[in-house]
Amino acid sequence: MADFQLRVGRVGWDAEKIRLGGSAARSQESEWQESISGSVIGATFEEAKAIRSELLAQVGKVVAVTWAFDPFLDAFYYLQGVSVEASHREVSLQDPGNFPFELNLERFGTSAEVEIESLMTHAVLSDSLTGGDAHGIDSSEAQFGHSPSIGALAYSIGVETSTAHTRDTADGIIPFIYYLPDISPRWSVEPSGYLLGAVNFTHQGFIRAGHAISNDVTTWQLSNGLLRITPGVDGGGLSNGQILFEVWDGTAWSTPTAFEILYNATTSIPRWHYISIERNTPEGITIALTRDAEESPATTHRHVLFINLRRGYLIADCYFVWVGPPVDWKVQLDSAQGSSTVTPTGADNAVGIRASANDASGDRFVMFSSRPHTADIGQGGLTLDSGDIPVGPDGEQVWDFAIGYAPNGSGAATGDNPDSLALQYHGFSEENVRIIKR
Amino acid sequence: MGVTEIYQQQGEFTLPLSPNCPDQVLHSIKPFDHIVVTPERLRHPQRWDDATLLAKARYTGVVLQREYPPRAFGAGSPRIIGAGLVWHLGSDEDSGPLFNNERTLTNQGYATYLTQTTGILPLAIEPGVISGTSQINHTQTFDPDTMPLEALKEYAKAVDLDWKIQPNFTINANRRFYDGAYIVNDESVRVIAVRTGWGSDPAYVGMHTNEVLTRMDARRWISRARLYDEDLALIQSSDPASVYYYDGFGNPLARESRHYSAPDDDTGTFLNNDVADRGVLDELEIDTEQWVLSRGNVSVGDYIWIADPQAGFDDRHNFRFPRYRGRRLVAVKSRVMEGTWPFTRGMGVYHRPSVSNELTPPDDVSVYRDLSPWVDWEFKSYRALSSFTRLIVKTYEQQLELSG
Repeated sequence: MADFQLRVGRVGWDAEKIRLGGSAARSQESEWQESISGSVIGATFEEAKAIRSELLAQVGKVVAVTWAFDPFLDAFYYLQGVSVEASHREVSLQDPGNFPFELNLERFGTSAEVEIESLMTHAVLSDSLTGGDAHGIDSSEAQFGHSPSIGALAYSIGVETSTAHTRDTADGIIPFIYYLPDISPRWSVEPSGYLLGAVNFTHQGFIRAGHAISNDVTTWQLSNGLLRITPGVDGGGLSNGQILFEVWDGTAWSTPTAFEILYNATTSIPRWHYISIERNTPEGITIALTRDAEESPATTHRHVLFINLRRGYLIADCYFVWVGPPVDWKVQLDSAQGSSTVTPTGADNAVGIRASANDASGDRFVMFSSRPHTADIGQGGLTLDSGDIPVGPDGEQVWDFAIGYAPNGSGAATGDNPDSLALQYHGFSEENVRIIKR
Repeated sequence: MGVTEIYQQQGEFTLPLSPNCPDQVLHSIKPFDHIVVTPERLRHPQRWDDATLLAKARYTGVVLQREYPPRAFGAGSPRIIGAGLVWHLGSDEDSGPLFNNERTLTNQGYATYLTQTTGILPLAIEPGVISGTSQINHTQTFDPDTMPLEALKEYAKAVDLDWKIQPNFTINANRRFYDGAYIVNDESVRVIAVRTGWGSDPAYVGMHTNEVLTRMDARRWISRARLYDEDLALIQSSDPASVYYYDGFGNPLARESRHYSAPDDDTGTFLNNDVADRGVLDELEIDTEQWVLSRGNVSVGDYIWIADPQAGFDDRHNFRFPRYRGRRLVAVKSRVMEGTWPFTRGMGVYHRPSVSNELTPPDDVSVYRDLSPWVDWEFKSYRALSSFTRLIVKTYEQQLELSG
């Protein structure tokens, strides 16, 4: 059966009743079209339904398609259209599901024909409103970074120089290039390897390919194979407002560390109400957690936490938006860990904290903020004074922080140590990907 | 729709917003605010400062029009329409910050001319990188009724200057045919357009050309410009056009333009310019992928290589032979005079209100608003169809005339 394993971007299944249609035309828009039809059959009915929804979610995206039965099909495509039916006659609605599908694809080509270009914009996070506690890191000191897929080859930034590094992920060894100049690197990877090392968002047990999820704030996981982020859940099965972070330290996932956000720097946020996906691509995923502000007496305010995880990064870039009157905020560990401040080369002031000693799993957490803050080195936390938090046009307070890990703690490699991670956080990069002819 | 940039003109943009754009956001966009576009979305604007956002911007436009198409009992798509920053030097509607005093600059270089108050620049545009490679010192007097855009074009022609307004409200300039404001030098021009065989190359950025249209347009051609006085007596004629054409009997073709007024001081130049501006148009229209333009691999005003013998660019003396994808191409270096590109998912679109600097510091990022969630992207996928991105390239002679 495995011979018929069909993978389309983030989903794969043993496809049955496959029918292929190829057409090539010399036209303006596209030259080579493929259509694939057959049946979606999951291991379970739940899986079949998830394959259906995630196939639909990928329309309009560039996907790597592989089909074990005919490697000629293994290539990068633009997914133009998907239809998935459910019919009583096909016994669709019984375990394990059986949904007739049809995919319309525009073929870009195999890894022999095409390569990938990562279009990058780099910028250094702004530091302070007053200039008093400015981080002082400039664009030559910040470590702008980028990871292609695991197994990527022929990485090119032209004549410029940068530092090539690798990191151990749960999927394998991923390249991480830092001190990347303001340039858009080009690289190559096999279609079957395109998603190795990619950022995944798993919701209710299935990897999600788009933005469509139900509002379940307790059953999700955001992972890039280096960092794994999950929600804290209380005894009653409800979100407890905490976020759990784990790191892959080469052989295993660490014991989770819980982080929480404190309103007025004293009151822990007790629960999240909504979760949404803001961006879902292999190179980066952003999620948003929203909460109605439960103040006493009840108010009409809300707060939103954005978590952005990029491929190959050991830190999650977060920012928090509070739409309400200015107050102080704090982000901290739920259970205290003694910590020390981090002042990397180039910084004028401490830009965050790290664990002073390796934790039980042998790793050290890091926490940074580009804004002026007060470090709580006893608990492990950062307090942001309301006067140091920038205010937007609607009165919203916006503050930046990052949480991550130096894997193997004191033995972290150059590039993975807290100083480097701080410079990788301050040097923010955003990436769009396109496929270009080789 | 999208952004149309034209070399040293204001161009235009039309930003479609989605019908579910909150009223609060829509109504915050006031006349003469700015729209800032970054090639990748830089997320929440309050994480940055003004200089960083503007430095990363690919385009900044000034808001001139806001439309909310009425649709009974339903949502319409609001649109924000405006022009590029050249508008600040003087608009297509012939209004702008006039000098209002006489300004004389005696034997001065580029940097002195490109200053505010005493030079050409209005307060809305600051000097940026002004290079002075082989610059010509020059003496010129500007009348009080001068529009900065006219002054700049006239001055640039006199001293061989090339200039460009950057998205951060500054002007870059250098002598024409030197790198500076634009990418010009043979060694610096790294974008190449071919009719077939597009692709990646270690040395060049290949441009995906979906459709190439070569256009010859003789409609506006004139052989001579004539000036008449109030009594309709001919008082002066321009030099004849440099290229001759003939009518059906083999007589020299006479297509003459009429003028009844001209600047007193330099009537001859005025008439000759009219002839020069109305030559036979040879241009190339290239449909390409949006990335090339929206990412800034090439900007309007930059030069690119065009390797397309069928295009009919007969500028033989300007051929070069770049090695591209295993072939040696016969290529012409040509200037991109106009470009149109769409708003595509993945970009960042920000609203930068224009507020009094007595109330808010001009570099205060707290007034920025991220419009990206509310943009009705012309391409909702990361794949851009071609017909929305278009470059117009002119022949060498044409560029010289238009850039004056």
